[in-house]
Amino acid sequence: MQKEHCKDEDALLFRKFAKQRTIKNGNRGGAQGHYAVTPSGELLAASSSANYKVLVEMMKQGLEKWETLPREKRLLPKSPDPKAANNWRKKENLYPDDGLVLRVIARDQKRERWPDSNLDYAWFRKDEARTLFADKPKKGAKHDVPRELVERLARFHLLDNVHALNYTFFPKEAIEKARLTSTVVQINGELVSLRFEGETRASLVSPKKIGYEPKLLGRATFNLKEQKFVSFELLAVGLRWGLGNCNQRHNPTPALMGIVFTLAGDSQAERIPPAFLSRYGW
Amino acid sequence: MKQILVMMAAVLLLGQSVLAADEFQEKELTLTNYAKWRDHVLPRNWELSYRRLPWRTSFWGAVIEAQAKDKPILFWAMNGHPLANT
Repeated sequence: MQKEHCKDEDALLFRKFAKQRTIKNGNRGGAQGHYAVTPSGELLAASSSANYKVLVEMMKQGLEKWETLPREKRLLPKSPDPKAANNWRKKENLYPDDGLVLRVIARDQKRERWPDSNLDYAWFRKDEARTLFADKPKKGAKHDVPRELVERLARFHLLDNVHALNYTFFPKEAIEKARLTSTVVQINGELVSLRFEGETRASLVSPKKIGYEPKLLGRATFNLKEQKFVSFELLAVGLRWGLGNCNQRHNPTPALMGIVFTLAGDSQAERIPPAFLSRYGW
Repeated sequence: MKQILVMMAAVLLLGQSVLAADEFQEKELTLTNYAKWRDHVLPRNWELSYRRLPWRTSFWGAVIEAQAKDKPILFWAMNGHPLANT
């Protein structure tokens, strides 16, 4: 939204105060960082440090300046329009209320430096979630999860973002293996207990050599009456190799990385769209 | 670098990180070491402490609220989303 051509109201307001920021030391790049601002877009204070002491000082400075500003400088001349956000929050509107929303955590086997884990979300529409196990479940029934869904996991979620957001996702042709099998281990009333087992391999050689080859294991419980998962765990562990794009990986040597998918909550913070949602084809 | 900043705003913030030592050494995923690997990857409580704050995930939503309450905004902008993949 900070692209210069963007005329969305929130982007215009952001650019107004971002331009006022001057940081000599510790800038994390671009406009990243913390800002204390007024609703009218006046910059009160700013920092770009991960040091909490710097942030606390910045907040104190911001509050002091806030106290000196008259109301007409602090606030917009008229109330901002809540409906304006409909123009740019299109991804959020795709949230699958009746589907499956998973929190995705990635971490290296060996913790080298902070931050050493990252978080993303994986979304499944209701009909997609239901294809994770047999249409007519009975104990012992095995079911191959549609390759399309497993490929989606391998391309956009089984990624090395341990240290930072990785802009390198895997193209379809990079997926060499994408298999996930579910087995019904028990049916207790409306509850179907499942096990997952599988593997994926994604390998990209050009423009850069990067890949990940994990084994997959997991378990879940589906409520047939409510038509939703009430528990879910899927664990991927395997070698990752190569570097990424902006992901702060400095050592390309193959090393073990784990990624865990678990049920997300439904708070605002848990409804953030997956990083590569726009590639889902929804 | 792609320039897609996703922004968020809030009225509070705290941040502190600590490097945690971990001697985890299992090599391959099996049913036997499944729980150990899972517990290794899942975040500790202290790693999620920043998420306990009532962050607003949309800058515009925070502007509307701050305008109505006549309050300043603490705004956190990152490549990616500060509450998710960043």
